[in-house]
Amino acid sequence: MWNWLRRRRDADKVDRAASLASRPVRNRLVEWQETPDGIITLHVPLRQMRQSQGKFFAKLFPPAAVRQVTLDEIGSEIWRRCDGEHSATDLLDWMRQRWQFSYKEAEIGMTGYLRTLAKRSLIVFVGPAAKPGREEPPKGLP
Amino acid sequence: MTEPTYQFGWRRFQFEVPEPWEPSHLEGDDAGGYARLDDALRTRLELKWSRSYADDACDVAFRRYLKQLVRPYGKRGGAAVMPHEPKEISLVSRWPDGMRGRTVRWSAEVDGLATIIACSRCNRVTAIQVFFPPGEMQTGLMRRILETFRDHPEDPDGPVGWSLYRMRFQAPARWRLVAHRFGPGYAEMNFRGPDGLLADLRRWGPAEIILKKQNLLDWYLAQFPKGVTVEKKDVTQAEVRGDVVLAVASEPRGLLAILRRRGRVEVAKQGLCLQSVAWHCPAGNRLWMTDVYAPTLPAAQAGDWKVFCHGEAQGA
Repeated sequence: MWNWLRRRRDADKVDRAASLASRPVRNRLVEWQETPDGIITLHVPLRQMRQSQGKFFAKLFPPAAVRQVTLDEIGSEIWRRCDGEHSATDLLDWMRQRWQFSYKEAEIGMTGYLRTLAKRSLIVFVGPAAKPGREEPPKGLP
Repeated sequence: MTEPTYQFGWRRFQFEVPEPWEPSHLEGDDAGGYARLDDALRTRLELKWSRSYADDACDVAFRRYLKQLVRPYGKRGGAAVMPHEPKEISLVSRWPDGMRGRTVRWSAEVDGLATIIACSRCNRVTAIQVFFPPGEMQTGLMRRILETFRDHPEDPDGPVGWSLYRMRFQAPARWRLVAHRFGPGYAEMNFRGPDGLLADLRRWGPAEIILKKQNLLDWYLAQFPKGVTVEKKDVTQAEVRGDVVLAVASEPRGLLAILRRRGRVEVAKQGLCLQSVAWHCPAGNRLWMTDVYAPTLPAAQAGDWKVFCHGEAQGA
């Protein structure tokens, strides 16, 4: 039983090279707008409560349909690059060049930020595409 | 070694490593500890050190290392897994005085080179282990690391070099690192010196973003710890090699400050004299700040350290 669980867990692991090659893509349901100074505000649609769940309370306190999230300057620039064209490595290189971060600084900052976005379903990661004659993409990626 | 290198410096250790290798784990103190350096994809170097006063410290540690290479497979024992061909080799023809080292190479899932170094001058035994992808072992790289390896400064009272995450500075040998914090955009190292001296080095970035909302002076005044009050009139401003440098030398007065300095009340930073310097380094896009707290102002001002923020040294 434990061995089976361990094998399942190992199969789901993504190695570092594969995760760095993956490309973050924005959730299409999330709308965003930009201020003239480049700061981005996300409008995240919230799941609506079913009528039966809280009809009474919903009438009293109408739930918000959209949650707004304002990103900071670096976060906004990363969000703009989450277009499926740039891999995590591209983002790291850009951060190091643009903000003079050391590799580790950029890696910790960016992976933490992307993980937060992914947890909140604002982005998803797409694995490297398999091309004819090239090796298969690593297992574990969507 | 063809790729660019830098001098890694941590807890009196100094050696050259390729530029992409940066610390991913740091723990322990001067007497014993562990450091791990990674490149973009994998762990590349491990450093483990401890105190030993034995004459044969190198041989004992070497035997222990070889024993540890053989590990039982799985938690419940089973067949022992021996890395293929562990073989002792010689990479350094002549070690510095007081230092002795033994090197072994091995292959398993990855290839590795490990050297056990014992130094009779600082009584530290160090295991330095470098990993290579299978079939890509570079003895030249390990040789370069070992040839530049130093585990104590030449002059016992001279400056000690520190270098990691593009932070490069020299601090007096008698200062001990007591705490550190490294994060994206913020790094802090806290030292403790003799006679109640406390010294902090802090770095923020990117300066371009921080200074968009406030000017350097306002930012600087907001960085002092709770209880340490510095006013605008106390700050002197100068230009050093094109960078704006702000400095404060303060000497708290009053009964409480006197009692604190004399140790009657728990020593806190707010009772001590302060010598602080902060500057903006546009080339590195960083803000730097060095604070030295001591019972007397001359002692705080004698805290001699040099920070190389972008090649040039800025003194505190």
